[in-house]
Amino acid sequence: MRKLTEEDLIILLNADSSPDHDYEIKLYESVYKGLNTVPDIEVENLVSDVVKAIEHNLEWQSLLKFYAVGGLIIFFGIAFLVAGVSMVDKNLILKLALVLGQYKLICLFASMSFLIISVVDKLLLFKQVQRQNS
Amino acid sequence: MLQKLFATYFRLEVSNDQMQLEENLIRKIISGDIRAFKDLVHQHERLVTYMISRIVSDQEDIKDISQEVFLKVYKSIHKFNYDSKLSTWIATIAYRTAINYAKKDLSKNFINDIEIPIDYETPEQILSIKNEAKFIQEQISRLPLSYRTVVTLYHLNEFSYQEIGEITGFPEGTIKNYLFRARKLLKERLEHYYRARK
Repeated sequence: MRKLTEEDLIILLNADSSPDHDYEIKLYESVYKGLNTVPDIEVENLVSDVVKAIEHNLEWQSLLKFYAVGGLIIFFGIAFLVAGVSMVDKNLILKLALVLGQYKLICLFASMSFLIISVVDKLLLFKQVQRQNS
Repeated sequence: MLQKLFATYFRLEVSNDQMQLEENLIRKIISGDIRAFKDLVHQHERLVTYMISRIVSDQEDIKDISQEVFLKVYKSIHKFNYDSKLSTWIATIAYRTAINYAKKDLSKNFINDIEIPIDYETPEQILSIKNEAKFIQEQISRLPLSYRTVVTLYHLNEFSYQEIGEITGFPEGTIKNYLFRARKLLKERLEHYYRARK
């Protein structure tokens, strides 16, 4: 913005008329007005969409927690069982290991299908809820 | 002097109250209160959307980024350490998310961070913009990205220089410089607009 010159000050002091830096001031006033104008933007249903996304996220977290806890329980359960049985008869454990080794593919297939079915089931449930909400 | 002291004291009281409210809100959110989080989104919805809209232009992208920002806020609210205001912290997340998004999608969003010499529109184009306010808004969207961000944070979200520095990582001198240059650029373009219309 242009500074007031001595001449401008004299005009102002004499209260004759305003100096011609008014134009610059007006320009800056318009710029400030434009900068302070709220943009014409509105995101619809932001709150509900965010909450839905969080709930979705939380459900996945709880599902993962469920699998982690379930896996740990099964792991420790088998470990205790094996330890207990091996104290009575070591041959039994060897036989069990042999059976598991023989049918490892079936065991792997069964556990994987359980995992896939439960994940797909959860996904379908989420989609159903989403469809109902929309 | 007394008046100044009173004003400072009053401002401190207000900010203390605000901090107390923010602390309560955060505590509730951490304990799993979704309603408290809804309140937080309501309170900061404008801050986030205005900020993103100055970086990204597509309406759908603005919606997606806004959602992503609030999800990030929810996930990391336990990390908030009260070093700054909650709004400053949220604005920082919004700024970084929008910038990263825009950088990833350069083809969709025109990201310019250099001061392009003013390519004035033809008198016909200028005459087609009848509204002065519309012209200024259009010119703001054509400013370099850093200018746009600083100008939005300062004028629309009313952050201080220090807070803008925390959000963007720019030094205070740079922020003042960007503000000055942005206003000057807009003034020059507006001057041209007036001249073309005469």
